[in-house]
Amino acid sequence: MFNYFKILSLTILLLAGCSNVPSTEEIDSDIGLLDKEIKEATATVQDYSGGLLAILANVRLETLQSTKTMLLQKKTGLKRYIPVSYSVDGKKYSAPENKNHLLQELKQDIENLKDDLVKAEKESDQYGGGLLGVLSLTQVATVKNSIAFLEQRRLLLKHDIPYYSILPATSKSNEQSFKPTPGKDIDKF
Amino acid sequence: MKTLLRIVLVGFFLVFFVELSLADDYNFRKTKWGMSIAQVKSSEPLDVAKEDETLLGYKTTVIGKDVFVAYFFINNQLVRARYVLAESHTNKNDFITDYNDFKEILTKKYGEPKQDKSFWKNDLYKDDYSHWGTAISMGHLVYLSSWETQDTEINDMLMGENFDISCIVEYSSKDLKEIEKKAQEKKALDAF
Repeated sequence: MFNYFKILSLTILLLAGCSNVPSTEEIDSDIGLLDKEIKEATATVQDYSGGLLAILANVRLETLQSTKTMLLQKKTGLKRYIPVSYSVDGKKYSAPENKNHLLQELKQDIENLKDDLVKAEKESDQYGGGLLGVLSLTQVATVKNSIAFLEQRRLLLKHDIPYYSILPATSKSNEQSFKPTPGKDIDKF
Repeated sequence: MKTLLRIVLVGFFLVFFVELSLADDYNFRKTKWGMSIAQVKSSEPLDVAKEDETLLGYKTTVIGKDVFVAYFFINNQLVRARYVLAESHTNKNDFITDYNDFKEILTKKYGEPKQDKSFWKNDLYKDDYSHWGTAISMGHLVYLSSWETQDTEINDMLMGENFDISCIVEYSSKDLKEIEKKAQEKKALDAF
């Protein structure tokens, strides 16, 4: 009787050990790419002490870091067998039906922006400094930010993580609501 | 009896014309440039939503849209005022409709705009109208139309940044422009 129990326990252990470990290969590869970009963005942030270019560089860095954090959370969940699910306004999030189409569109948009970036960087290289130089650097930084935003959307969509956008806080009871004022609309313009 | 009727009629016309001339004198809602914070406050039937020494803010609706009303003051003189759209849309292209609705009512009141333009800073979505709202939210596309009256510059603007869109109708005083400019320069210098 004791031997049967031993065999049964070993079989259960063996089966549990052979179960499918969720693959984190793709998520790892995406995090790896993000790490490279974060390294580059960090170096750019350190190049500027203040001003518009510093703000733009910081926005890009923060966007990349938040994307990485979301992917890391998902990865940890997969590795530890903790299913991570997301609820938006109390409803469970599920990926849109046209996910693959959206991913394709986002990928194409990013490719187009990368072409724009090459052009912008080429133009920027023509200037050693001055106002035109600063303006062309601003253009480069803006395109880089656009790429980081779209990459964030693409990666979150790819890994079934909802994209959170900041919405205005819902009005509290003591807050004033939007009330019309007497009179014709045209007189208010 | 006839004399009494005459007096009543003259009185009626006087009141009517005074009202009419006063209505025409307003620069924004029931206010005129140079008014003090207290005067602007008394002109608004709404409750103040935000107040400091340079700003008075209210919440209201115009042409069926929720808007913030902001009055800007320099040295207790009204120099600028704005309607800022407070609506949110799932389809960002709907902001273009809002912008056009404001343009329509402004055109009805002030005539054809002096300037009516859209600027593409980045052509990524130019060929795809369904993404123009996204283009605005990313700062790729800006809309601007403007009007001018004897005392006022009026701008209807639609622009965006970091996926947020702002639709603003702004009124500014021509005569008090210099005062505002000087105050801004002083503020900028004080920051150093």
